[in-house]
Amino acid sequence: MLPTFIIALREGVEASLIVGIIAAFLVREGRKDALSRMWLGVGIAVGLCMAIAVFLRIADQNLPQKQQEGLETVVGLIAVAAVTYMILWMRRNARGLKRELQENASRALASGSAGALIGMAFLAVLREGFETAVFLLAVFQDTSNTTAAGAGALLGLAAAIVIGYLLYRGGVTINLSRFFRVTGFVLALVAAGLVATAIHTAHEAGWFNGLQSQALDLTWLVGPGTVRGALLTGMLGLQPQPTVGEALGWLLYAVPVCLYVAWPDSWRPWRSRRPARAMVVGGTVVVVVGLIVAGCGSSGGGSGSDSGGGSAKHVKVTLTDAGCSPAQLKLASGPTTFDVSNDGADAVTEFEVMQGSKILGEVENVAVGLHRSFSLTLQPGDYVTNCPGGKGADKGTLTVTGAAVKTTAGTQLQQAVTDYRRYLEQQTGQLVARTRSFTSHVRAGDVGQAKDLYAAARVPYERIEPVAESFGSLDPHIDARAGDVPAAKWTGFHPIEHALWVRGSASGLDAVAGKLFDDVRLLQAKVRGVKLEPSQIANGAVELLGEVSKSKITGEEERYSHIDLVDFEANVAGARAAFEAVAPIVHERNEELDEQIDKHFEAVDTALARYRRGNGFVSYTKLTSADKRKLSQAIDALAEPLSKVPAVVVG
Amino acid sequence: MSGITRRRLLGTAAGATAAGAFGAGYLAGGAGDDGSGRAASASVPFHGEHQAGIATAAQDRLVFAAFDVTAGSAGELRELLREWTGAAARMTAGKVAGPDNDSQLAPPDDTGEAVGLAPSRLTVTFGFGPSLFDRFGLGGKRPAALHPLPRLPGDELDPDRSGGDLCVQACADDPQVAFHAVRNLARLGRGSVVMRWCQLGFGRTSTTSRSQATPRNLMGFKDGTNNIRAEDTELMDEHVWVGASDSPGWMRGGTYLVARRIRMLIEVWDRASLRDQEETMGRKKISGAPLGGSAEFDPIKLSALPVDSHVRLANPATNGGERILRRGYSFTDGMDPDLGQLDAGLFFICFQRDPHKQFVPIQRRLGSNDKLNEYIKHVGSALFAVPPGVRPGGFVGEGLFA
Repeated sequence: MLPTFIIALREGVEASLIVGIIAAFLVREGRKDALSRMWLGVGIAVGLCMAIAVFLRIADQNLPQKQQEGLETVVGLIAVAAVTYMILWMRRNARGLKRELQENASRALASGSAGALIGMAFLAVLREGFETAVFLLAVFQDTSNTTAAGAGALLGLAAAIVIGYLLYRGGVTINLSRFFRVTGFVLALVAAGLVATAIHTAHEAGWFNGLQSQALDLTWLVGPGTVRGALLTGMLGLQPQPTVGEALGWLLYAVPVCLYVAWPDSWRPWRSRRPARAMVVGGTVVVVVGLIVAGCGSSGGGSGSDSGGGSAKHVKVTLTDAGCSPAQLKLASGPTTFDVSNDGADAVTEFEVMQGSKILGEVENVAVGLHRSFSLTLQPGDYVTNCPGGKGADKGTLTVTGAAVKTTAGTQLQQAVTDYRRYLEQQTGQLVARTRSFTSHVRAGDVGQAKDLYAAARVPYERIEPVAESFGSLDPHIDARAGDVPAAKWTGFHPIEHALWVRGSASGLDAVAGKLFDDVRLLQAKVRGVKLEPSQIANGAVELLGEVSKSKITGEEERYSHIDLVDFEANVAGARAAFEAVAPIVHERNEELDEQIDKHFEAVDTALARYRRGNGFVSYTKLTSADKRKLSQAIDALAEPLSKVPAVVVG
Repeated sequence: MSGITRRRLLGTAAGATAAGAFGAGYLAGGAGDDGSGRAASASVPFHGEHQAGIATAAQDRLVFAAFDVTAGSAGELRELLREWTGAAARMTAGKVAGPDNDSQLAPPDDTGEAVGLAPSRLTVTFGFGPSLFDRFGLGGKRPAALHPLPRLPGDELDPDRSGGDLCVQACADDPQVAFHAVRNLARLGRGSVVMRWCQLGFGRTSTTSRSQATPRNLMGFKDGTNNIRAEDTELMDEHVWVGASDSPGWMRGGTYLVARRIRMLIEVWDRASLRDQEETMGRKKISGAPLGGSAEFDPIKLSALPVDSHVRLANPATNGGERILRRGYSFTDGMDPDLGQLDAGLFFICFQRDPHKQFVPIQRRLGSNDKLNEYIKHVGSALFAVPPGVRPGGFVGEGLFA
């Protein structure tokens, strides 16, 4: 709430200041008639900014996950740039602002009509408004409590208008210089948080894969659920477990800019403005370029901490409206990275390398302007490239010559870990987004809406539950049922479930909802740093099916909402994803086992499909003994061969 | 890798000794004693002309399971039967169910609760239900005698406790050994079969050998006095084993198993007078002597028994000479929660050459007339074709796939 209040206050004061000065000038010059046109201009500018903000927000919500993260990164970076420029400019110019404005105004008036002045007011408000909109959007993206954030913005605006009016009237004098310096310092810290977040969303969008190892554990300082933690995260963007990239970005931005803002004038060693400005601008450029280089340098072969390096060849593939370009590829065997970019093809967003009908490697969601890579070890032979949606050249050929390449078990195991890690991050991302939505409706008291969103929020958690359980107390905090923990300590999804379905009310749930959101964000942070072994991944698949046998098929998990079958499907989907990560290894070492497991996954899906209703499943209470038995036996039939996989993967 | 397990040594050595002792006793046809000549460490050979567990002197404990086949192909079914045969042969010899597996990362191949326990005369007997022959292209091999049992008077059958594509009868003197056998077979079968129902039995209620004393069932009466004995090979050939002249060929040396879960109304029976009880049965309670006689094995004078007494109605003379080999077990499954009464009775198992000529007419007569019906009800029923014995290297029922 504080960041939105401060930005709205500051931008609002700036805008009110300029508008007030211009209005005073018009009155003084006897041009009161132009005042109404000026206000009209101001109103249009405000309207335009709101429209831009709404458009950006809608665009953000309608994009697929990866593009959403991309847009949020861009918005975040623009916000940082705008805020930085504004802070620096105001730092230098606060003292001379009024005089400069008046000079400009009289020049404008002298040269012609009041139109120029009106234009100035319009442009000033537009500029401030656009900065505010972008900044507010960036902060909104990152907050759990959009109501409070919105309230803060409105309060800040209201305060700004009041201050602006009082200044205009001359009833209040403010040391503008100090006002802008203090607010500038606070905003610099907030902007540093935005830099860190932008680096994070850039990673989610797949643009930035470097420096992903965990730098610090700040949970002692920014512990979720504490007031201090909420303040520090909300205001300064400090994450509980920032990565190296995020921590560096935060520091490299915050230190120089805060120093610049806070530096007392009397200490300034230089007189002229240019070196200072050049220094800051140059420093920022160096920082940004450095980060990009560091990030992109390790994104070639996969995510930073897991990539095995190696001398992979890079091949550039462009997606065009026709399809894949080049359509005919001739390559030598060996490790190869395909760098796929989209050159303006709206209908073509995928690139696949296939052998017969089997897809050996692919990238998806390569929208216009984006690029993604994937790696394969190419063996000699003839393959087909496929860019679905292309007109004319959607299928091409890939001829690989040379000697056969021995793939080491090591690369396969690494690939398994990489693949499953990507899945984990995808799921935790979904979990955070859906829990944010769910808990905000809970806090707003929307029982009906909250109930509708409950199942969707449960799904990503149930898909990765064993991983959550490996982090100690996180699982009980998020998923404990009544009686598992003392009543006073019961938090997470299920006390909310109880309130919504049994009490029919969301009152008194504020703290629990807030803690749940903090806990899933902590889970997301922990997942980023987790160490994974292939046998662990395989074990996780077996454990997920154990979950089904223990609590989903018995109806023990969702005691009030009875959506156990939704959780059931999620557990199975999670098990399948874990198995798919190690399946190439299993396939190579025991093809029959791989096929057997695939067959039984299909059988479970078929058995479960009978109970679908709408977008979900029938209530658990509708299942007969015979229904439960069939499902239970299908799970047993799948889990038995699956239990053999860990030994196969390691042995 | 095969380790020398203590169990295998014990089994092999003791098995050899006991087999000799048992064989001697068997041939001599020792009468009267309560069968303590058998050694707990004895093991019953798995391979032979007939499957074990039919003519074998009844062991103390039973675990009986019926399965439904979910396998998709005859090949899968055959593979299952091969695996089951191999596991049964190992377990009855006192070995673990699967090859010894040392990997820490894989679940153990044997569940382990029989490690260190003697073979305890474990027998594992397999049967095929009528429903199995509806699939896998086996229709042409269905024995004529294997069509489903008709509805019989007095039946109150629970479909969830009846029928099944396959059955496994595991008998042993140690209940843990019997349970271990069925559990491991169920595990081996995951993905190809699902369990349909399972019944535990304690206390044998028949004598299949002269070396055994007649046990009592839960009604307190001696049960099996007039049973066919394994030593009476002509009776076995006439009434139990499918013969050389019978069809289909793959069943020769096999037999047919009928299993009936008979619930006893314990609370009602226990308040019946002694005279009522004895007249219901047709025998004296304590001595087991037929009414009109004085000792258990006195010949039965049918006219001395009440017309609706159980023994008279079941007697071969009343049934045109038809007889069956009974080999049942008492059971209790705790309490029936609906009525607050004990859920206990007799898990009746019998073997015969043609169930529709033997069991069915006998039970039809009993179901219509037996005074015992006041105190019992049949709540489960199943019929299985029990294939002939397995030769080493073969698998049970391989004649079906030949």
